[in-house]
Amino acid sequence: MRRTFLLACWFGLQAAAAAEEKPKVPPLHHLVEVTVPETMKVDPALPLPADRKLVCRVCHGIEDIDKMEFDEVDKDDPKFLRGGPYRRLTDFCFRCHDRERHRRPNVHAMLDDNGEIIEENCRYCHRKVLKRDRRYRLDEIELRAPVDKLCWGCHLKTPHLNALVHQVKPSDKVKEQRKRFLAEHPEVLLPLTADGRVTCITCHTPHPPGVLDEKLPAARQAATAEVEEAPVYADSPWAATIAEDKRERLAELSRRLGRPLDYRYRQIQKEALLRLPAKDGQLCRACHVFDE
Amino acid sequence: MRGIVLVIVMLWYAIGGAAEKEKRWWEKREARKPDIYFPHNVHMPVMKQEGDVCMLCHSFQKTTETDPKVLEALSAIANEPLKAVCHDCHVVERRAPWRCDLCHPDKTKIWPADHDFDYVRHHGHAARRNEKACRECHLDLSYCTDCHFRRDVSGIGYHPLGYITLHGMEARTMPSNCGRCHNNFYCDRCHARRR
Repeated sequence: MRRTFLLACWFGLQAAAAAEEKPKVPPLHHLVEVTVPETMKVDPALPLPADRKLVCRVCHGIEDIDKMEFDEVDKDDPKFLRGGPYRRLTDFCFRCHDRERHRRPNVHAMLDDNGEIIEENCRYCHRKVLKRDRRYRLDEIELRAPVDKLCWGCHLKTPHLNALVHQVKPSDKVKEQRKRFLAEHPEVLLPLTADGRVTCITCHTPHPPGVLDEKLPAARQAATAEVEEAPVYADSPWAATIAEDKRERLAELSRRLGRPLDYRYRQIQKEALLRLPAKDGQLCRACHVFDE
Repeated sequence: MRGIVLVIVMLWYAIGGAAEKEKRWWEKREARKPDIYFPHNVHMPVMKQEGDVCMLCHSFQKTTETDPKVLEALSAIANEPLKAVCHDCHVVERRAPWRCDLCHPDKTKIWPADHDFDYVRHHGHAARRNEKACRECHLDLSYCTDCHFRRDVSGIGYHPLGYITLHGMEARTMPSNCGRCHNNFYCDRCHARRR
């Protein structure tokens, strides 16, 4: 009995030591200690060993990163990823992976050249292809993920400024105005999540014109651009004034963060996949009204 | 007993923290800039002509920032137009009304510190030294000529005729009004003589 206990302790200690040797990586970290196939062209600036084994130092420039706890690693260090800092994480990925091969399809482009539905695209979000002329409730459309999280499969939670501040339960004033607007405009939908929060599809429609029967409120949208090109921005005579307006505050925020921040106003020219036009303020004013 | 007190204190902080968390950028702005009047509705047709009704001031530009704290700060900056944007129409180009008190109801909040007391007596020197500085706010020349070219009253013409008989009333009810242009010596010139 005593011998078994001692053996168990020894194995336990060995396992703990082994676990300590292996660097802890966060979930969704790239595979480590795999052999990079010969077919993959690795950027020669990355120090891939002769045996082509993917170890920490191939991607990370921070010395002894493999001996650090994950929380201790300074992810803002330009050496965190070799050749950094990167504006987009994927810019680093494409030093080895082929950018073109990993380009995602635009599933919102749901019609083929003949105007027929590309059903494969429907199934990215819906479990089954639904009828295009029937009005469904949100709980009937068999989404693959909760409506407020589905878009994040491809889009950032924060794809544009003001996205994050909108993803909340609206104030009573806004709620009242939205209700009033929808009562006056039954041809429009501005859906909220089940618990009453604003989400991507409150303002955006995922379906371009022609996918749903145009008599349905879900089909109602502002589309002055093709799905593939929208949104289209153009330079604005206001850009210099707005840059001056923000200059000091942006510089202060950049100083605090220790990295440059970019903000350049460009005027929206064409829009798509919006439930109402935003350029002329219709979409905003569905919920936001002012006494004067 | 000590436990109950601890729970109450923790609840107090939790509720306080939640209340603070619920504050959005515009609520913070209202607290910071209570003196600025911005009527949204009258601006909408004008902004439509400029090309973006709401988004010219409240930007929905694409961003690659993902840190919520950075985004919150960035959104507040992007959402909050300040002097340069407003003054572009209202001051620089004067395409919009340029009376300061239309948007700044309390002018004492925006005027330079030297205007606080007895400035009327010194404004002439300052104007001669740097007239351009005056014109940053006093856009209309009538601001000067209304007094300097006035011929229907005696003296500098700020007060109505016969004001000398009434001035004691205002001096008692609102002495700070007098202080904007006059100092004690001004009063003493007459009042000390009588003592």
